[in-house]
Amino acid sequence: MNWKKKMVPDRFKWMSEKIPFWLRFTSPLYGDMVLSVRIRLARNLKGHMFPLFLNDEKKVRVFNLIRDALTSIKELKGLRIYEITELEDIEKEFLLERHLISKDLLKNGRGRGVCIDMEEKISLMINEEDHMRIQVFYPGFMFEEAFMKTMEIDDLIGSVIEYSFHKKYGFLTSCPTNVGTGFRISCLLHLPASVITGRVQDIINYSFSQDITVRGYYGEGSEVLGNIFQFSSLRTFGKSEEDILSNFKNAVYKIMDMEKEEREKLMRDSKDLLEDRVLRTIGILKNAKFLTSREVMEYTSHLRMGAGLNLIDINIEKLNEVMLLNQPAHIQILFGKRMEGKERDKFRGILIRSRLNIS
Amino acid sequence: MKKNIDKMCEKCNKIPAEVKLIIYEAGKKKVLHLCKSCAEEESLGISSSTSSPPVPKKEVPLLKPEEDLVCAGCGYKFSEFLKVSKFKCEKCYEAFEPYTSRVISEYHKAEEHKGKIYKGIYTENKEFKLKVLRRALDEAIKREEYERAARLRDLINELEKKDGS
Repeated sequence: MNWKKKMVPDRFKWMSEKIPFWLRFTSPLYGDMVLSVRIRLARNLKGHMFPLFLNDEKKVRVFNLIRDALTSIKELKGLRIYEITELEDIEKEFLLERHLISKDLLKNGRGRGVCIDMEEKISLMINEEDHMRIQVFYPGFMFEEAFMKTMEIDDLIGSVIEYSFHKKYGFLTSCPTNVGTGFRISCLLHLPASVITGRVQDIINYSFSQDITVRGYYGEGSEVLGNIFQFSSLRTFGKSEEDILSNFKNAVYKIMDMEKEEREKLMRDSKDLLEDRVLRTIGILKNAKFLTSREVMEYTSHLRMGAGLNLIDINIEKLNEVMLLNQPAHIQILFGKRMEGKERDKFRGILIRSRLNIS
Repeated sequence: MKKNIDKMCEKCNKIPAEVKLIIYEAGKKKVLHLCKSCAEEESLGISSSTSSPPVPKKEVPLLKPEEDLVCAGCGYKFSEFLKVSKFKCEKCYEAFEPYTSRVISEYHKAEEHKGKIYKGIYTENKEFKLKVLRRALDEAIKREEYERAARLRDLINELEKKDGS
């Protein structure tokens, strides 16, 4: 029976073979700085207790209600629905690595799940902290597109499921920090120059002054990897969705200007050092037998900045691809084989050399 | 010999620890000695405890009423809400007034919702509701309950206005 243990489930093979929409395109302007935009809406069903307080049976009932409603919407055909209990650990990690679900969704118990569309523009978490967390992902600077898509989905779902809504408090949520619009916008920004010069502290302080919180690569409670930070709007109440969006966008412009200033400074004062870093990185990627995913995040960051400053000619979408595929669960699903740390590190080297075409 | 045992990975306990990982949990620093693959999982934030940048977190402000409040919808107590900062059901919002209002306005620095207004579920259900309301209106008129009839008429008008939204 040992062979079975080694097999990797192929439920997400369809997903692992392609790059999600939000990582596939980059804007020609600052494409190396803004990775993606995500909008999230928290919604609850009228007449049901919030999920954290539901037993398994009731959670399953809410899950089925939402599933039936979603399948009845013809505009949302093609959504794939997974219940968490049917997934293996490696598949849960795979979805986390793809930013499609949160760790909270993985807590024990039945009746939690996620719906994902083919392009991975939409991920709808069921029975996390709220009955529904509608998430929409877009690449780079596509704030407005993401916004319109989110509102469209919200209207569609809200027309077949009755949301919990209060005249004074707006959309009701389990946690009062999400009440009102239930609307949160976030953005993954790559800020290597500010990290080198230490300006990143100013950026974090500025963000807090704008009601924006700063997190690591995998969101709340995660670490900053490869100089990529997640910026996320904090307030959901007392401001319209449009206002939250426009404040956030202005702040992102400001942060990018700060990063740009630091890049210019570095190019002026220490271009040689930057070039050295990029070339060294290529040397390592070309020759290293083993690479950890932490290293890959670091090295792709060097190359990404190198590309942004025209120090090397490398396709940023290829870097996105490598960043995604090299992660522990991804690499195992991609190669169709369960692997321990060291073996993964070896396959990571192979993957990177072939995808980035450096050998 | 004992020292060697101590140096095993603190997570899987199978492989000798090679990496010292410093993590921040609820603002507290914690040091872990791990093997390389456990350290990788740990630092990617995939396993249960995670490392995070020490960023100040906004907490829901705490308030204590003199007498505990209970939600009639679900039996949840305000004192329980204070422990976890989560409501149990939609009715808790009104049940815990005026504290709900204070908690929310202190956190969000605002008094009322200013975003999207939810217009309710779709026409089929609207028709259903209208049918129910019209029948109730007829009954009210028959029974000469004019105050109630006026209220029902308002509800019907409101519902009819929602058309095309």
